[in-house]
Amino acid sequence: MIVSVRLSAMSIHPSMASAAQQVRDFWRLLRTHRMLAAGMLILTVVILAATVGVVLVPYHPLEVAAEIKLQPPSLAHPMGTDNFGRDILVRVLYGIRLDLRIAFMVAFTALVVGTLVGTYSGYYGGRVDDVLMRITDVMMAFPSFVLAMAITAMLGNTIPNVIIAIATSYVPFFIRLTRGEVLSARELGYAEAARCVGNPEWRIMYLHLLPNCLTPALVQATLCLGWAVLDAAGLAFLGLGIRPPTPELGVLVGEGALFIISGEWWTSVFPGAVIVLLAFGFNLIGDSLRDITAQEER
Amino acid sequence: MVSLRRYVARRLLLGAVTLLGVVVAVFVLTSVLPGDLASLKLGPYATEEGLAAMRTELGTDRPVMVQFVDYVSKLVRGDMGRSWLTGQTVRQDMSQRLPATIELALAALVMALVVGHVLGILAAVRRDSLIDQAVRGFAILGASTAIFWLALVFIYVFYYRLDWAPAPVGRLDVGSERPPPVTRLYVVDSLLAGDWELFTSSLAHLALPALALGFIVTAPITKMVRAAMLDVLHSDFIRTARAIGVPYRSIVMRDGLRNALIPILTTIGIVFGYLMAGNVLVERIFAWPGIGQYAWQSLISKDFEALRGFILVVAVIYVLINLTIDLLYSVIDPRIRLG
Amino acid sequence: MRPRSLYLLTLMLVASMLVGVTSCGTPAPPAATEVPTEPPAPADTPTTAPAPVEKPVIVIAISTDIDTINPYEFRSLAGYQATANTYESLIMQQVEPDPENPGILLGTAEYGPGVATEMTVDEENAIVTLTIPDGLKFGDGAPMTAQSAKFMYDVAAQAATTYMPVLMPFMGLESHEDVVVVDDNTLEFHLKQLTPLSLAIMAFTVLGPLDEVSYQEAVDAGDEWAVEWLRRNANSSGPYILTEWEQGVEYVFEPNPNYWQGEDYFQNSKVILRVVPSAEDRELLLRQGDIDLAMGLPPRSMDDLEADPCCKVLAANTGRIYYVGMNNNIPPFDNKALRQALSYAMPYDTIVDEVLYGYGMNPGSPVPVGMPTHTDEFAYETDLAMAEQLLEDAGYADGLDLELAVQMMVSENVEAATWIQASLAEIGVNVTIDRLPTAEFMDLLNQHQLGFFIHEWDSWGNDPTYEFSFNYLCGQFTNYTDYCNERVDELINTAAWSLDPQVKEDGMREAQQLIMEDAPRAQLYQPEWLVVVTEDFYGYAVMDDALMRFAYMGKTAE
Repeated sequence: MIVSVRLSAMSIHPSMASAAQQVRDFWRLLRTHRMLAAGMLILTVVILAATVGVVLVPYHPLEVAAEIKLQPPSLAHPMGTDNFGRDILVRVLYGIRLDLRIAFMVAFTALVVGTLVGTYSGYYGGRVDDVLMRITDVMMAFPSFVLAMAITAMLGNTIPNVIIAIATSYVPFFIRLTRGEVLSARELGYAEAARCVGNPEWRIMYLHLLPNCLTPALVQATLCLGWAVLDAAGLAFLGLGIRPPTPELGVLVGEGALFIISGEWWTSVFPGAVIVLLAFGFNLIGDSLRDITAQEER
Repeated sequence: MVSLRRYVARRLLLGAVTLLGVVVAVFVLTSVLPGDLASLKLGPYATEEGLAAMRTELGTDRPVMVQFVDYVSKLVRGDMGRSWLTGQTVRQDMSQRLPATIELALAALVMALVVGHVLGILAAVRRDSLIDQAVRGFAILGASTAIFWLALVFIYVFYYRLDWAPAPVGRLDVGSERPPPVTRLYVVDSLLAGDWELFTSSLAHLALPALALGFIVTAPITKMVRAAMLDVLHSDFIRTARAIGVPYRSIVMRDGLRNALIPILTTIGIVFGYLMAGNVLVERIFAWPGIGQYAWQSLISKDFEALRGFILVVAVIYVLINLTIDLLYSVIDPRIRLG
Repeated sequence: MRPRSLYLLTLMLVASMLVGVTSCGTPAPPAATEVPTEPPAPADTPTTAPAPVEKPVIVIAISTDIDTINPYEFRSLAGYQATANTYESLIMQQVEPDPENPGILLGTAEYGPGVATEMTVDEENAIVTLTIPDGLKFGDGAPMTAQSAKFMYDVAAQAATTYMPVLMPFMGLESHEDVVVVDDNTLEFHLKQLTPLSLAIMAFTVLGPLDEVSYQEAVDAGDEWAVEWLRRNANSSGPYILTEWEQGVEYVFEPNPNYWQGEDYFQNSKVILRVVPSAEDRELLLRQGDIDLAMGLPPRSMDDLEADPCCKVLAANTGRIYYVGMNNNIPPFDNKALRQALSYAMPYDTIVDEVLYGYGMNPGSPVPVGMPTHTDEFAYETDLAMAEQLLEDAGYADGLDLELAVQMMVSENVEAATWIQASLAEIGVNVTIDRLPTAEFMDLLNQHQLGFFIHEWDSWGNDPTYEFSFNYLCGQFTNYTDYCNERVDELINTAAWSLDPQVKEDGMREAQQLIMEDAPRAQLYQPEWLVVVTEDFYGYAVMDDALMRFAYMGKTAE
């Protein structure tokens, strides 16, 4: 579910605190914001599992074994096996790696493109701004999943294309957000001062204004990580973008879906639960960060 | 009232510009899809002349600008082309499938509105309590749930395990008569026809997909209701009302909710747009014969015109809903226009 | 469903019908064939006496929609099923009960009357004469004459969106003008020459009579070639009338009251085609008794379904081979040793066991099991040591990376690909499986751009020269691996026109040896055709065209 969120600027306060102080602050932050802590914990565990865990599991994701196919969860195979006798746990762990990579690439791409365009639009205003805003209007008229689906179909079935497709559908949120920030920051003294000293426009835009308007966009990017996991998995579930049997969480759910009605629930329930867990982690963090930045503004 | 009229005019103009943009975007998106429609239609044994004739008939051999003008002029006449998969015009296909999608979307929306309001108000009234924490957690969980997974889990639990729900194969049991079409929403039509059995059957088929979709969209609604209620409950006039002794419950239910209506309306707009489209996954899993299922079919068979029709319809619905809501609350709340 | 493969299907049907002719013993049609049967029952007998037993309604689950029932355009598989039951062919394949499989009817090599009661073939002048009796009627009661039969040829040959002109040369017909109406009861085909397919195509249901009156009404209403009208409507010349059409949901077929074989011919009162895209759902519905017949169920469910008192599994042999194609023109598959190495590394038995659950076999030859001249003497058995040796000979001692394309929707192939991936990994070949949407796969396949892919060939024509003509002749369109061996071409062409069985036997044996050695394809598996029906169902007819004939389907009384 994507709801465009208008975030307010966080006031800029140069931090002179020492490293030790920062660590203490961070702990205090985690203690007061339980959801942030929970999100951090979830992601740490999941990422650890996907990096260290992969080494510990004594199977390979593509290793087939006909004699143990479709076995329910057991000690040897905590998430059971699929119809090729492959260990689902190890496939899930590899899937997490792939999905995380996709999610980070999506959020990064959308963040960079969105903030650059948004800054430009907000700084120059006028006709350029009008046109860019109408374009974002149009882009936002398409539900993001439909837009991503159409773009993937158009570009072809590869992982980079999935990243481009999903990122494109998120870009307008970043453009809107950054533009708003820049609009209000533009009139503040320091941009004016920089201009008087003779800085070129691009310097003012991207070196003076943008960094000060970045916080809400970064918070938004955290939320986007969660959405991207869901959208990429959804596309893969439909058979778009990612090639099975590349272990990818959405593909795993899709493959397992065939067995739901014959009772082999573990083939799709575990991979799907991990998708939800990942997205939940990112959303907990993103939501808390948004609350925190909003509070600081007050 | 001059400013209202100007606001409406301006908003309508913007809406029209967006719609035009949507048409351009849809055309660009779908006309650069790889593949030759003519050879898809004619098959491998097509002769060169046959292909050329088919391209001429389809108009795909003309310059892109000419094709675009043609596309728009056909659109204006309500012609969205023909699906080669179903053999019908896209318009026929869409109008046959839209009621199924709308039925599902409405059911999910109603469910989400009810649950979302209850939870949102509870959370706002007891701010920072355990309930509030739980509701916020639930909202985040809802936003994090992969709908296709949830749908599968529902099927496993409610169909395979408990056998409460019918098999996930569409809107009605195989072979059962459809109700006489009035609204073409089966739940409503069967009631109108007084056919109780059909009503329960269509409701049972609707339940799981609507529940899955409803669960997902309850999250943003809950969140928005909570935030809007908090804003309102801390505003001056509520404080005044409390000060003069109006019972709290009545404040919350009457004044609070009424004033929270505007942000909630916005969310409903967004949610409805999502429901129309987020259906692709749910409709596929439940074999629900709506436009989402249609979109998926046309996507994998490169049925360009059908896909184009789907994207266009979804985007137009979305733009129109938002336009309506904007206009609606400019009437409700004059302050909007000044902003 | 798959427009392009359907095209092939069409041609395959044609090829298959040839068998009906050739298997009689002579490749050329006999000089004068009289269709061996009594004249059709007079169709104008009023259908008075109500049937004593109430006939059942048959519900069949289909995977895709009917797109169009326009006989001269491409259709989805469901569309072909519909036209096979709404248009009546001029001559019809006969059926008899399968002694081993109660419930199944087998199409025989005999052709009985359809619209025509009599046929004579003048071999010297290449003229085929059909006799059409008096009193035949279309669904709406309009008279059906020789002119109606010709009229279909006129329209099918000329309409803008037709594919029929591609078929007509195969039957030796140069122009639709050469179909001549002598009188109401006599129709003559003046062919350029008799071909093995002349009669087979004539027996095609979709070249059955077309009613000129209702056609003309549509044309007068501004519908050129009645394209739009024919897509949705048929003034039925066949056994059924399509009475309800709900896209994406279901289609209802009711017996045609004017059908020439009369009411007793029908074993049911109504047939409903219900669209159920997912195989899992079709299985569910069948188990619940909501439907009577389902096709395309996964082999892994069969044992379970067989054990379940709800259902019975009807399994029939097919001549369909699924193969791993290796395009001889696309590197690295231009390397013969590599192709052989890969052929040795394919997990043939595993696929039969784990994907087909035993409902199929490894053909071990380009000629399917059950087709004359088949021999598995040159078969590849899975032999990884040999594969590694050949891989080294091919210059890939260190292994290589390959991309294997499969159709997303063909789950057996996706599964087979997974086993192949695992097996090839053992000889150091890393396979990425490229699961493509049908349209994209067919696009690439038809452009001969797939280097390494799984595809199938349906060989209803029970003759190796046909199998080979489509698959292994140099430059043949459907030779998707671009295989070319002049000796093989020579063998095919010689055997195709030879009347000496020994020439065919020897030639095809050598061709099998050469093809297996050149290894343009790994002949992966040959599945059985699985139809699952409810316990009380009977009358599934296995016709050469593999399309259902609704009229035979019924249910035993409880």
